[in-house]
Amino acid sequence: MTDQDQHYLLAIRSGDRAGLKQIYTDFLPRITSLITRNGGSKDDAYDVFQDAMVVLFEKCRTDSFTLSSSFYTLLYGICRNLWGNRLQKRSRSEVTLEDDYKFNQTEDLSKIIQEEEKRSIFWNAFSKLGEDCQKLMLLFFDKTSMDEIARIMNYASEGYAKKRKFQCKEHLLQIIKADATFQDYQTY
Amino acid sequence: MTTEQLYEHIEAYLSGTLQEEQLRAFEEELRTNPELAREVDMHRQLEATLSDKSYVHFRKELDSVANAYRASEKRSVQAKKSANKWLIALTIFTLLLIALWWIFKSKNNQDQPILPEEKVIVPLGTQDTMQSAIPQSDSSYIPSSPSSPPKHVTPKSTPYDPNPELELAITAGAGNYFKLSQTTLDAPKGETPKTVDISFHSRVQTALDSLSFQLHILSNKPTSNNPLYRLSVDIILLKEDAPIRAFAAKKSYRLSTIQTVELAQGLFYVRLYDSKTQEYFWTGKFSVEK
Repeated sequence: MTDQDQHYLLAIRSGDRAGLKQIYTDFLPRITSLITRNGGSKDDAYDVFQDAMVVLFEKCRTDSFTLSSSFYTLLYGICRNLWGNRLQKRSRSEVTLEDDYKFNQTEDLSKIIQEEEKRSIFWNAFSKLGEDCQKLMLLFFDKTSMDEIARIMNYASEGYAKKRKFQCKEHLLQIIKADATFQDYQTY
Repeated sequence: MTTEQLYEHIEAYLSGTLQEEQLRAFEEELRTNPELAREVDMHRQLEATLSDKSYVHFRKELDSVANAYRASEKRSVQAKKSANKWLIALTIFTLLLIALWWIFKSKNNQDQPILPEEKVIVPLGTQDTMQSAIPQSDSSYIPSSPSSPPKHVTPKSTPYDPNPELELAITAGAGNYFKLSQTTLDAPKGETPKTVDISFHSRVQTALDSLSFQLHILSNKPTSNNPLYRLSVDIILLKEDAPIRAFAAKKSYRLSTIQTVELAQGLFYVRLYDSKTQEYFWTGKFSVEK
């Protein structure tokens, strides 16, 4: 692992904006070419790259994590895997990624990928909420009391805060339920 | 119970503040009501995602970086778009011209073979002249001067002349819906005179269902749109390539035809015909020697 690789990992672990930008500049073009060569669009490439970053973040959080290969190899492998999953879901697609033993994922990584794909649905729905609702939801899930929320959000009463909380959460859950990917996960 | 009350209930359950009696009732309901179980699961996952502070922080930063990248990409695309506006207009215009030319050309091709045939049949009427009047290729059929009689211009055709249209079909692919492989065509002489044993085998991969194929035998004559023979094709499902995804999954079929037909000597074309779309999607040829 090079110093530069160490740098990338640090940026991801700490969510450092400048460092994340650097990763985009250094690797996004190569990943875009991987995706577009395999039946995807530029937009697909952006999506896959972004999701891969979150997978890397989850991976970095586990204590035992060390890079056994270069940062790029790991990133490339994750993107490949994510894109492979997506191609599979688009059942009409005739494109398949050929097997490549080098990039076969470890058990642990593919589990993270799977969980992250599911978690992203929740996050993406959240990011569609208005600013007001986003703030309120984060306060609520941070176990802030209702009168505290009313004070922070400048609401007239605790009762109104409660009502707003319900409205925002309801809206959020509706977005999630409408998400096609989420419906795929509803297997039981 | 209103939705709001339901949410309060679920939240109380997840935070462990339901009282004994209520808790027991709720858990009982959870066991028997899968819809409630799904709802509770959603609330649980939502909380797990949004109460995770470092995750929320990371995603916020990441989203802002990613959005900035997308925005800058869009700007550069738009800049290119306006610069290329004239180029696009020119391209469309050119394509339009090509399309017009092509339509015009294919219309002419359709007309050509029919006209001479009809003209010649009436005055001369014999089988031989009818055949020889049909142009064999563009280069040999040039009515250069109106004084020269058509008989001199047209060459003598043989039963072995290749049919340009069908030759072209041989090199064409199988279209979008079918993928052929391991195709073999064999046509040895049969046991009795003037017969040929046709044997055709192939493997087709397609997502379409209820297939219905015929094997058509055509002569080498350009006008012969009517097949000499329409042979049935046996279709056997081999296996499903992707058994889990039943919808639009590709399946493999074995196609086979073994039949004896009566044919004179000459060059013959074999075409695989999809009875459903009424289109050909594979063409081959064989010749019968004396």
